[in-house]
Amino acid sequence: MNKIEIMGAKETLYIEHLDNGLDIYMVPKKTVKNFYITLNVKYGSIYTKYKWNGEKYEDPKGIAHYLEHLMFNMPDKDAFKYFATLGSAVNAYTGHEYTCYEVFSNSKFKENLSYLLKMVYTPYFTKELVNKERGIISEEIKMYEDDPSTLLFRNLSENLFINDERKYLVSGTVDDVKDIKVENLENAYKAFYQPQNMFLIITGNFNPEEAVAITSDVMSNYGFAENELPEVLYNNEPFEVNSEYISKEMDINKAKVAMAYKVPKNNFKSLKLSKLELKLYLSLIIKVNFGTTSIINDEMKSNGILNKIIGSRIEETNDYYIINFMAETDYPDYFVNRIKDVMNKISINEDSIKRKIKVAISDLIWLFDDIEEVNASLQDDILKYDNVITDIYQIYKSLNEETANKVISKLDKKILTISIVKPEN
Amino acid sequence: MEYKKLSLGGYNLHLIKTDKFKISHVEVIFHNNVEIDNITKRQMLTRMLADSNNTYKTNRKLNLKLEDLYDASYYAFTSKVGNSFVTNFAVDFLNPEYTEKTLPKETIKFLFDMILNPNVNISEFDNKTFDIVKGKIKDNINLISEDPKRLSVLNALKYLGNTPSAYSNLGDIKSLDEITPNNLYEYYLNMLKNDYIDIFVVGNLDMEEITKYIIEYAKFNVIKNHIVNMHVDNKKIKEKAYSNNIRSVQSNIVMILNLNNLTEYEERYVANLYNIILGQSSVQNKLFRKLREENSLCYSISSYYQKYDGLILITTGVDHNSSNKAIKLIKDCLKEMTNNISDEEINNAKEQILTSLTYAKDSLDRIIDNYFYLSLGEIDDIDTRIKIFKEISKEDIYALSKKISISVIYTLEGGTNE
Repeated sequence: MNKIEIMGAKETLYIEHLDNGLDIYMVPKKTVKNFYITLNVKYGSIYTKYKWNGEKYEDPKGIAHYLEHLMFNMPDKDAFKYFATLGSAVNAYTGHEYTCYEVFSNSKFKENLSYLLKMVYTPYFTKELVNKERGIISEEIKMYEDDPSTLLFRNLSENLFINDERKYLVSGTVDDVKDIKVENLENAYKAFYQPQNMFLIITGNFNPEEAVAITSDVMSNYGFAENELPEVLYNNEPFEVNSEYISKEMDINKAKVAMAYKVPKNNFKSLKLSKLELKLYLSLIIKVNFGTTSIINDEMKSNGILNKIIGSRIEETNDYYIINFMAETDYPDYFVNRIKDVMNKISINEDSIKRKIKVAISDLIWLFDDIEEVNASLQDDILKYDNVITDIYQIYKSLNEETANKVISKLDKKILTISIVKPEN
Repeated sequence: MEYKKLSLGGYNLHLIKTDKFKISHVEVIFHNNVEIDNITKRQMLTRMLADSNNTYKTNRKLNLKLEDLYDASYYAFTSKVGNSFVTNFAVDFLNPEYTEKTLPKETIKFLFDMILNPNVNISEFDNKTFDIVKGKIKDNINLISEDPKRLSVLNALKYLGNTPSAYSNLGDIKSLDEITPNNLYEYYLNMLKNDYIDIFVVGNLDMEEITKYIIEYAKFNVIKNHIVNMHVDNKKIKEKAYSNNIRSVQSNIVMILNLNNLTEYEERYVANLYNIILGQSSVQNKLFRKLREENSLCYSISSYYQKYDGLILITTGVDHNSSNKAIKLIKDCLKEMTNNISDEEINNAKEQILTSLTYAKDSLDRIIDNYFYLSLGEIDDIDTRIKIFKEISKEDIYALSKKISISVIYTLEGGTNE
């Protein structure tokens, strides 16, 4: 087992790679009583086209999410029932690129971990169960249709992406899920739910050696075939948007606005920065210019354009960084123009870099008080960088004004899309 | 964990020394009886004191200061707990071993500066800040109408009649319009003078030093001796169904149950267990099984026990054609609660409580909640609670179920947005 110190946080990361391909990442914390286990699959809503074992598959949208719902069915009973007997909280969620099964508890560690593994490695899809779940998933989709923010971001994605599957809802629509069949689910499960395409993260109060022993033991009961991993077929995403502006009306009180800049990753190639360094620089630049201490936030609050702060987020696709801004305002067009102004004059100085680095390092230490946050942070690292970043403390300290300005100079601001949901006239 | 309580005239100081966390936490809790006319004012005042003060006149300046304090986190909120207001001002900061020895003193000074040095000109709050905060509160109130689930709960509660339980914690637009920079400042002075004040410190800190800092900065000198009664006596009312229409895809159903004439044991313990078996949080409960698993009617359904209001609220969102069926099935579950609880259900509920109470020892917020309500005599300590919960019998729950009556069935009818 590998043991690595997480710099700056006075914590240790344990990593074990099992023969069946499963990676286990563990950060024990003896001062708490709780533990939090996530079993993650590198399979999300955007993986609808893939080649596997010589066959090409094209699945209906929403299949990863549908599969997530079904995994709680076991041949003898449903998994919820078993976890209830342990007093544990169990759940699952699906993103664009992953599916995560989680359990949180503070007793019976062995039972919790064993059953989580058993549940995910025991596919049990009957026609009856698949049909039953269709009604539940349809109600879940309808529940979000009443939410103006869902409409706002759905419109934003549909306009931002031409071919990328991120333009569709993770759950699919009610019509999409009507087409999902047992066969689709079985194929997707066999292709993606292989140990070498998955990873386990455990944080909180537990013993790493025991966790590895339990996992190995449980998994030895399953005959994992030595299958190749599926090859996901991505659509080429052009450097353009479907539409630059979309505005819809809804029965709401205040307009909601979201903007997304599509920034090609290739632009930054000549800077020779690692993926992580580039992400940290971009994050720093956006925080300084649009975060809680930015001048634009103060200005728009004091002149009545905003009552709450500007939301911002950076996402990644294979070829692009997506820089998002969002707000609630009675003046959406003015807001959009001011964001564009600041983006066009975006800047950074030594003082603000130092300040944000101090904040980032504090947040890094802070994070380790929350076993769920630690788990989420590890998950994010593995999905994005295929590894846990244990020297981020050092990387933060190396960030500097000169490189930040080079990153700014390569920041392409030409392509963006705007989505607005306005109150009805 | 070492706990110590000091009564220091105008306030109580609770010191909780623990090495569980990399951060420390200081929280000031103001506590008094609810005044229905002042719900909105209380919310507005909380936000005023959270967003800026006389030293940090804008939110940007305040955030810069927090960054200087190693990204300390300062926040404030007001809850309406039964018949009482509970207003919390809190700051979290990294332990000195990761920062500087002077950080605790500097952060505590900052916290009391935020509470005791508001952005005031002569005898009224600064007008510009007042307008910004008022806009924010107005947005929060108006946003409720965009969320059918929250709207359905607030609409349903109104049918309880003239009781504190029927009023939204966020306040209302009419009351907001009546607030002025001057009357808000008067309300602020009144809160300082008349509210009970408890200060909590949690962390791996030198508590003797911390006590000195608190005494230096917490200038609360008024001794109070009035009674704060947290419990609302919601009278049993005859079951009645109400509905409104909204443009939404789903229909949202709220059922309100009154818990009548409970003993202290029932209120503190049995009702909690009843609620878990019926529909709280865990996905293995009667409502979840009946409506979601057996009938695929909904994605989520929950019940909430509001101890200090003597109420249980059941909420769900279903297809608009299924409202009646859903209400019938909820009633079936309530019937089952009177005579058909399995050993498995009661054991699972006890396991869930045990997990939750054990978790409480690892959570900063729950640690403070625990000591706060313990000091008010409203709960027992965690170990006693664990012991008593384990001993609750099915008969106790059946006896409680006979004291429960449906008062309001409310449906916010959807089906018009498809």
